[in-house]
Amino acid sequence: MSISVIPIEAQEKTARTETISVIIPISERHDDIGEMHREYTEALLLAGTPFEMIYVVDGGFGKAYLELKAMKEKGEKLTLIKHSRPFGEAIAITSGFLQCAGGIIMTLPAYHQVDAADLPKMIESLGDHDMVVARRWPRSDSKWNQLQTRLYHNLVSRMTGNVCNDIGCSVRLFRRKILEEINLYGDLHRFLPILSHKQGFKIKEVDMKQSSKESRVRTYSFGIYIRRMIDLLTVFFLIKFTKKPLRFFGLTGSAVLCMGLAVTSYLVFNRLFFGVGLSDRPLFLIGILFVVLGLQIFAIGLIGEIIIFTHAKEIKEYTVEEIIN
Amino acid sequence: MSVDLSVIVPLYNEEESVGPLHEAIVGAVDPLGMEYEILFVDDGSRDATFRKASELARTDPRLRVIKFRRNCGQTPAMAAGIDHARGKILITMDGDLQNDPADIPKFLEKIAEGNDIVCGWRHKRQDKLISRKIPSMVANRIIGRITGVPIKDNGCSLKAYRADIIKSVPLYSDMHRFIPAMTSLAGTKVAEIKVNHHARQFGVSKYGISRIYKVIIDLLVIKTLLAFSTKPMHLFATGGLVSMAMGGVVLLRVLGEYLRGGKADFMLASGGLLFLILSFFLFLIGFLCELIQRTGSFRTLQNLNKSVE
Repeated sequence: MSISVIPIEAQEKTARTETISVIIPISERHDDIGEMHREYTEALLLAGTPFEMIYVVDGGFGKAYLELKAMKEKGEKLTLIKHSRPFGEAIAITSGFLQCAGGIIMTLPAYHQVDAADLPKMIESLGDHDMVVARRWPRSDSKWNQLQTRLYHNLVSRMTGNVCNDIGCSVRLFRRKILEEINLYGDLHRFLPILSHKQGFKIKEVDMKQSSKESRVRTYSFGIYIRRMIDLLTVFFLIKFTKKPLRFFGLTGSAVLCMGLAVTSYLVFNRLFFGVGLSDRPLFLIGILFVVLGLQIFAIGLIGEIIIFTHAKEIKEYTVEEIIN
Repeated sequence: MSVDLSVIVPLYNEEESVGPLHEAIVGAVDPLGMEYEILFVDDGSRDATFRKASELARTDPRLRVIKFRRNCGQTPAMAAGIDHARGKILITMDGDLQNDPADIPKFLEKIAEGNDIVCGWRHKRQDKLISRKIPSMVANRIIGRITGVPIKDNGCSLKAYRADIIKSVPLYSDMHRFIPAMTSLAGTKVAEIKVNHHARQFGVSKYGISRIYKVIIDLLVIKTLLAFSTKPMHLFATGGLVSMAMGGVVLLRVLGEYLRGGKADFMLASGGLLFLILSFFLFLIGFLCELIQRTGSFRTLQNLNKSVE
């Protein structure tokens, strides 16, 4: 992928562990960049820790890009990365990460989500945790938005376990090692707290006041909702079954297979002993269909196992925290 | 830096055992006059296991402690130990003092005799009969029958390996139970010796009877891997042929009936077609397997024991 980078001045690039690298991916949904930048930097200056701002423009959005470029030329300190085409927010965060120098990373949305004044509070609460995630609370947006958030949260925690209360909030602060260990792609950035929790990182949640500007009623197109569901399924599989695909496929496969076998043998039994003809029983077809489907699911599971086996050496299943001697 | 022997012990909530275990290992290996190291792998314990182990490591430079960030399970813990070990011979054992380090010299002798893997056999096992011994006896029989590597006690962690062999075996999930079978992919020589087994002194057993489903599925996987390593297409192609024959016979019958002037049986024909479809599907899966087999572990394993003369 081709990425053009305008780096900040070299002398500032010396890595300091206490520096916070703020990564702001800019995609379709963004508010006035100049205003966002002003709000964020003012709040971060109050926190007193050194920080750098990294903007990743994911594809087009020429207006935002030109605005940032103009700000940079006027002397604002920021790193600007531009993707030649949209790669998605997860990749945007990753390419920001590859350019950053800080030992602590903060991702912020390019639109109003939380009150920027609460950012210092978030930085303070990191302590010896590995990640701090924000929860928009108290909320000030429309009831419809809140309902959507709550439904989504319930679904996520049902499927992946309850890690945090506001997975949709992309204000997060975490240590560098998290992204060194977890590979973000597709839409996985949404689930970073869950993936980190699974890797054994310590996660803390803080309440941050919701930005009063995030009050617009959001109704997405049907396709977006479907995509969210598919993302969730991906994470569900990643968490539960990547190591042992057959434990999942085997269970579904044998359930379908047994159903098919039961139906078929019932019909064959009737044919043999009671002379009930098979030709006028559509159920027979369904039975065979289930047998075939069950076998296919099983075969797919075995393929999964074989892939895992051949690459098990590359996928480390353990995470080492410390080695002594 | 490489040493002669690495002793690898996964530990999970074994604070009482750490000290005595270290002492017993040192007591057993020191008289042999080998250069050795001990690797304690702390599998995310929530008690003082890591603190005690690292205190020991401060006084004993041969002891290395690997700490996991979270509890990953016994097989990953062993895998970590094996990955980090520097010895030419590796010995793995349980951290609960049920295995006896005094057996280690016997294992080394067997390895010196030219075996690649030596498995321990807890012939006087000190565990509960109904919940532990009987299920494991049945399981070992079945595993031996299916994998063709008749080990009497697959569950015993006390094993010795030649390092180059075990380092190239993919160890993941609960696969430690099947190491002897897995390495048979590489054509290894496996031996088995009787070992002591003590009743648990501290802590509680971390196993339950719920493993049965997992073991059955794992066994199926191992069987596939074994069958598959030498003849990749074979397994799926056989299935494909069987279902193709079934579908073909049914379709031919329907066709025969039709040609003789009867009414074509739509239902039966569709059933036959479904089986034909399945057979194509299985053939395609077989091709996929061929592709996969060209990569990764299979090639490494098969090239392991080749000697060029």
